[in-house]
Amino acid sequence: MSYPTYPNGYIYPNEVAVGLTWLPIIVTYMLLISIASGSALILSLGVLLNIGTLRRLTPLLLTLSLAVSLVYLLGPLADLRRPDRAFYILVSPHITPSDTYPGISLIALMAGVMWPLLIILLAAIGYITIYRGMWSSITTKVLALILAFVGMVWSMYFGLLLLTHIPLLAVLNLTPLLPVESLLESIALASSIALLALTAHYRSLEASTARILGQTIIACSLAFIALRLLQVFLLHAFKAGSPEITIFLNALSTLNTIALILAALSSIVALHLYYKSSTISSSLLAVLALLWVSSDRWLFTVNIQSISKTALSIIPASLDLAAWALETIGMALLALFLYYVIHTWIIKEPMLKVERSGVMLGEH
Amino acid sequence: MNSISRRDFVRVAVSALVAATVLSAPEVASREVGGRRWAMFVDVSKCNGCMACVVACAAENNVPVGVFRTWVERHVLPGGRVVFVPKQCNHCENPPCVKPCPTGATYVAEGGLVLVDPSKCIGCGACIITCPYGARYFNPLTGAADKCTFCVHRIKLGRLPACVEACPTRARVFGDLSDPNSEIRKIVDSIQTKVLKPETGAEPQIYYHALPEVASR
Repeated sequence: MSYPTYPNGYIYPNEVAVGLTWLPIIVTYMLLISIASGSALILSLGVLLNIGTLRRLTPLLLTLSLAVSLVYLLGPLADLRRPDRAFYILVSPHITPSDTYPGISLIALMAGVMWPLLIILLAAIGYITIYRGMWSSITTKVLALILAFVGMVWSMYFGLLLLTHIPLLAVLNLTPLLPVESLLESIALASSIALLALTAHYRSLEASTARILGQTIIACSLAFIALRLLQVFLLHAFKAGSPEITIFLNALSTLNTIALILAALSSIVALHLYYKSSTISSSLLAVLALLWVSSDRWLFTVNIQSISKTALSIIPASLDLAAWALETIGMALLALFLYYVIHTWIIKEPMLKVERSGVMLGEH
Repeated sequence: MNSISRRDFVRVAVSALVAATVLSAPEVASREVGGRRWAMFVDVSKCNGCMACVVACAAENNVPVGVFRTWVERHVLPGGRVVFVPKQCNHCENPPCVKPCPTGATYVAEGGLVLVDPSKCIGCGACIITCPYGARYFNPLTGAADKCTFCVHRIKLGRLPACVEACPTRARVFGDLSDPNSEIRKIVDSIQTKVLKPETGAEPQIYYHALPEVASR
């Protein structure tokens, strides 16, 4: 089959006018979502499966997840053209289908339902475990199970959002690989940020903690590499020659290679950490994981949007990187501030009480 | 003091939830109320690229400079023949742009018209990114998503959309597809037509005649 070629490009006029519909700030809030949801997922698994090492990390993971969850919706707020009406998502979310409003909005479901649910679950589990010491009660397990589900959905949100909103990805049929890849990225990123936070708190790492988180990162990064290579193979095998696949690979291949290399480097450093925990390796791992996930997020948001809906040309779009950097730094600093506040005023005090009473966390 | 049992509490809570859901359900099945299905037929072989439709649309709907509710594409076929293809919102039967709208600002109105309520639009761009036809844009004056309405304000008065009225060659035909006696129904039934990007499953309601392959994207 031969396809028509357009030497001068073929772009819809409104695409030229709009440029990037979702601004680069989407990369930042998708990263924050990954950190928050990945932490929540690891936390819930630690409680559910009764893994002592992970359970000892509960206060840290809880603080991390809560602090970042309270911040990440500022990202979409910065992306809205009418942020003054953002509250409509909470007061009239499009989550019940009808003839007038067919389907369900994933954005409304996540922002209007799953976000409050995540916050409530984190607060509830924090209260029950850290304040009340009920680690093994049925209530704790049920809440942890629900949190695991919510954390998993949030972790997959990036892939789900793209698949349901970008027609090109739907045509290329990247389901279900993209959501699974975002899940793996979220767990790896949250683990590496948790390692960094532990290093910052204690200046050293316990071998068992470094091993379990290192193992998690190795597993996630290797699985990510395997799935991404499978995805590229499938695209070449089943869609080769179509204008969609040609432009998709042209626009994405460089950054895709970089993301794969960074994922491989992350797994190598995590392997080093598995055998010999050190502050330098954990810091390096956090940076590498952040760069890996950032490059992949950039690839599937900014680069993919630059492909015209005609699949025959690239939209000329200018990026305001200065504004993006400022918004990113602002959100990161706010998350850091909230982390400090929650850790110092809400988590640390009951922890000290527990330590003073001679009962270690996880031994109730 | 009256005490409430757990069972009563659950019953009241479930009833309240059901009532809230029913009461908040918006104009269910509004498409069926009028029994109409507005659609457009475009005969590409009749379009001479005069852009009268583009100008008429912009004037009628106060479309800002740089964005378009309708536009005319110029394609050069192998052999050098030039064709002009008018495009706009397809008012799809299964509109991909309505589903992702988080606030219900985009909706399906009577007659299958896909419309935007600018007062509810938060400008998230979900509909713009999802529309496979590039028919939506951010209105720089309102910050809300905007697009062709099939001139709903005119068809309510029994008039034709501005682009149809302005077309000097009658390349555009507008009407009610569900009426067996309408001109558009007769044309669509008698002439071979194509729609844009049928693979998306959107079921667009603009039917093209003589649409070359190069312009069907």
